[in-house]
Amino acid sequence: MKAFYLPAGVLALILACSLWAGRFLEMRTEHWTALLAGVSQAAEAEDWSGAAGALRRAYEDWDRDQTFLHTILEHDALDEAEQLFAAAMAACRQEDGEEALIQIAQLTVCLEQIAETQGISIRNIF
Amino acid sequence: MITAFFRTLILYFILMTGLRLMGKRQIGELEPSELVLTLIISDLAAVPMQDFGIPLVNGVFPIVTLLCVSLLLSFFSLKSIRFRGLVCGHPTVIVRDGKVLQENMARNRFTVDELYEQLRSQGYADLQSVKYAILETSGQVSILPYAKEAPITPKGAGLNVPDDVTLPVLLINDGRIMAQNLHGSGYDEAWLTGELKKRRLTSPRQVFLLTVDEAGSVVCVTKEGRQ
Repeated sequence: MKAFYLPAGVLALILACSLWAGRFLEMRTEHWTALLAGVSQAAEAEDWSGAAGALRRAYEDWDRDQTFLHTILEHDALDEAEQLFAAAMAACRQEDGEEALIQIAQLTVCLEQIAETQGISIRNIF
Repeated sequence: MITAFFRTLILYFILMTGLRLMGKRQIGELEPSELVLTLIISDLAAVPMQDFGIPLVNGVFPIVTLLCVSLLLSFFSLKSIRFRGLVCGHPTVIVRDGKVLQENMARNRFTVDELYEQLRSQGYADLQSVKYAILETSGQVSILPYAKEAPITPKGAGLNVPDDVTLPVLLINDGRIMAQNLHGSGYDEAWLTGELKKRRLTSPRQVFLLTVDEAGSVVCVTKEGRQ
């Protein structure tokens, strides 16, 4: 039965790892988008130091997971998010409310799309 | 990753089904499952190898998934004859008593030209010599001639010949002694040195190939240009 249990076990392990990676990314994305929502609120209130601080915390949190993210995600998607973080930070520094809100909205969508690619859904598979 | 996992499974089974539907002649010498594995794995390995923007696990996970699926298919094929038939197909008789079974040929998309090519390659000029031709699951054709057309064998000719076929064991391979084979055949280094001395050789490094069979006869090929 070793001929059955070994491949079946490896398949189960791959499936479990894949599901875990999808769930982990979903949880982390929920956390990052919550932080970015705080940045948007601060920017709307023109609290630029608060917005910049919240955005920096969100970026540092995102940056901590880069090694793991680079092992499971296409690097182009991560580079795009990185660029949007940089653009949002620049807008906050310039205290440009409209531009900051646009960049943060784009960044939020980008992060959600990245997480969505790892979720289990008919839309992704087909 | 989960997308890659499910996509790999889906593509594997689509390719498998496609190859099974195409018939045996498309397959060549590989079983359908082996061919699918070969086709996909080579491509999967190449993509992350060339594109550094794609994580390695995106290539590794599908490859490991395919290997595991293939092992499971082999396991179930061994356990169930019905499943084996589903995965590998069944041999098909395409010539019976010298008569072509056209329906079976058409079902496997096997042409008359291909049949004659197989007959000629196996030394048969026409269908009159063939009692059965069977299209195997690997895509090869096995030809069973009428007894009167079959090559003469000692048994057929009523001759009693001694069974002198023995399996040679490789003892020196390109100058290196195969110690496991040497001891497994019941010989030792002293015997080997003696055999080399008989041939005026001083070292195994001078030997390209040395074998001994079950009857004890030694075949020795020295290296070209040895001093």
